[in-house]
Amino acid sequence: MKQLALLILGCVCGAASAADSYTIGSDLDPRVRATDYMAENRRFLAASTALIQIQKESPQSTLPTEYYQRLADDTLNFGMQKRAEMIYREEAANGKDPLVLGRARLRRAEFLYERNFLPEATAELTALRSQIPAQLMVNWQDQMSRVLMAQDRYADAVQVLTKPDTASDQPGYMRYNLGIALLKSDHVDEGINVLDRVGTRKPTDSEGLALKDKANLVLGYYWLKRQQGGSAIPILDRIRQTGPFSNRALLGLGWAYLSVQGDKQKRSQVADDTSGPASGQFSSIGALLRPGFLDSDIYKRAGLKPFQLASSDPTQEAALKKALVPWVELVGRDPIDPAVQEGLLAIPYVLDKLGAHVEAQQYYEKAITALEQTRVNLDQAILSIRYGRMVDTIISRNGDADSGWTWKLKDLPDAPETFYLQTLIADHPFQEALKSFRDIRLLIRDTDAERQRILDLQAAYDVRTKQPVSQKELQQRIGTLSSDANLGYQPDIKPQLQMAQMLVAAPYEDKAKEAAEAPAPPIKLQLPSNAPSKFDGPYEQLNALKIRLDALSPKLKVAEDAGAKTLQKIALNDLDAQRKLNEKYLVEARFAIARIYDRASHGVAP
Amino acid sequence: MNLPNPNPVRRVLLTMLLAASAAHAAPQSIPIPTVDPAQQLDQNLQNLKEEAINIKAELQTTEQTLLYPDLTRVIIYFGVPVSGLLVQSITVSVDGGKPFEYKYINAESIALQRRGIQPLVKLNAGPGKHQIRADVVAQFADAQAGAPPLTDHLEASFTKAREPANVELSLSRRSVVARPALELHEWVASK
Repeated sequence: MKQLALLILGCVCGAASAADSYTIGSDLDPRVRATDYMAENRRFLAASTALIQIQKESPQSTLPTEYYQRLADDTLNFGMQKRAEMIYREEAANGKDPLVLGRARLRRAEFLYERNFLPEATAELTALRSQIPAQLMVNWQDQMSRVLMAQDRYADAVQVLTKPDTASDQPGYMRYNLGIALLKSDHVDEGINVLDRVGTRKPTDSEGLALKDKANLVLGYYWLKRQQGGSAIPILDRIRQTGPFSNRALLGLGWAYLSVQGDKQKRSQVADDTSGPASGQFSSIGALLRPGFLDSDIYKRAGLKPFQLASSDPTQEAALKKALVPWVELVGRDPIDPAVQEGLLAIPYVLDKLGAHVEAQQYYEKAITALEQTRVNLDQAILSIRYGRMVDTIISRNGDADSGWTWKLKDLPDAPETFYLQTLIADHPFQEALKSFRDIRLLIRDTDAERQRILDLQAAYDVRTKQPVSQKELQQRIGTLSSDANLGYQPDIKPQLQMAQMLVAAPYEDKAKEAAEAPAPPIKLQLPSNAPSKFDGPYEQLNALKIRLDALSPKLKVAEDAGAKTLQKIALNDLDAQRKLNEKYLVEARFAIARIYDRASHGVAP
Repeated sequence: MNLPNPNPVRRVLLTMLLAASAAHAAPQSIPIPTVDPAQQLDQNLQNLKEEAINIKAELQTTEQTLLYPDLTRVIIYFGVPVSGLLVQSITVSVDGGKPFEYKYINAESIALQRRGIQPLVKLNAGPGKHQIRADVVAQFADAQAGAPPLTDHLEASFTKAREPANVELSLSRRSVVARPALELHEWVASK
């Protein structure tokens, strides 16, 4: 429909400049096309308002279907689910194009899922299943499986992802989800196979690379949890040295070298598996242990003085050396990450076990210093959040963008109050609360601006009600007003200027002056019986709108406070968990040192 | 080989990591279902949005009635229905009046060549014929560095009836191989 409209428009543009007509609300309506541009700019508040304005200006008309589709899409994108839902329901009842309908309902289900309305999303998708066009089947499977998995219904998710078989059309993250669902529904072998295939893909984009690392991390830790270090090592080796999962991979790899039970798992052969070995484009963790690397003194790299191992088992020393390689790399990284914090404890733990007690004690002391600094930083972050600085810091970065549902926080500003909230970025409740808060701030700014607009318009209205002036006087006034406007005088100058310009352009102003100067005839009016009891002109309408704005503002303020508190609560809960983990590591380190001192004071051989 | 006993710290971390290995969604991971404190706020916010948007729409209508009545209202729109052509600026003047210039940021240029038209200027002009002048500067996204920008100039007229006038300026091609050029088109609402 849109293509047809553009084709018609193209022909028309190329032909002549004579005016063509459009149906109000149709694809050709310039006002509707203007909302498309706004929506492309992600200005969904502006687009929704412009569409609603069209409806309000044609209250008696039923507008074309494409108008309502846009209204549903834009209001949904601005987070007005209820309004969008009504339109989608209407479309579902009366619509004819199953593809358009299917997309609309999938959008609604996605919205419900993102807002954590999981039973509603499940019901919507279940109802849609029998009507979904083949072109949208993979989208349906994707959404339905995610909704089911969010409810821990892994076996159902497996069913959805495998029937019908659309494996060749499914993107990587759907295969990853299938792998997780299989693992969690006790189809372990199949789950491992699927994750292994995701983990050996050759993606070129950053999202694909992150997914590949994530699959390998899950698989590696699966084997590690079962004390199958031999199986975990080659899988963790595939993960990139720098990436969102690299720290956890380095930590796991060290533990894997110290528990090398089990063999390297053979890669499963699956019919549609065309992936080869891991891509060499990015440095993987396996490269840390490249041949010859261990010939250099890893103890020296770890800052350890030469020491004599209590255990003379060469196998054990070899395992220790190998474990130290990823851990030394790990502890040089940012101690904000719990994986790095555990790495700080892991090195002395192993050294102690192997009899290098002095070195273990030194490492524990270093770990305690780092952990105490982390605790101080966490306390500062908690304080900043309590003072309300976190929300402002996050929102201020791109607070001017219009809205709405599709907005997502991609990263956090580098500030003390947000430094420890990296894990929250992937957290739906946090993201949703943030979106809502951002929208409230937008509405507050918007209503403030509207209140000022009303005052300006009322000032302009006063100009209009003054004595009529001649064309010449108006031109003079425009000159003065333009000059004032350019110099920045008077905030309400613009509407006055616009009004004067309009009056100059109007064809009747001199007659109006003549009429005003003529003696007024006696008024004999017979009001119709259905005449309104009071006049409702623009000035009165502006007054009424101002009253409504004044009533809305305190409600927005209440919502703003509630939104800020919700965000603070989520952030503080997260920081509290980090604080507890930090405390646990500190206690662990202090006890370990105490044990070392205790043994030394009692003369106990290590 | 003697293996170290599993460290309690390690056990905690392993459990956390495995618990965190939930499904991967595009582009972010599946949430663990929790009681969402944002839901209640969301319900309330939807009502506030509804009221705010209604007020805003009514205010725009009232403002239009007051400042740009139907008899004199002219709205000039601008569109670039050429894929990959990124507009940098446009200048428009009507009846030799003060030129209106708009400079585009990259996101706006990209949006404009995708779909829709931009409401550029709203002004008052009496019924009758009016002259319009427009100058545009644009560049193709794949143009070589240092290549001169595409520029065009248009002088045309449009007729204002007693109804509001919608004038569309379009930087478009007359044929597939033609150089993009400014064109003018008038639209009126059907009765």
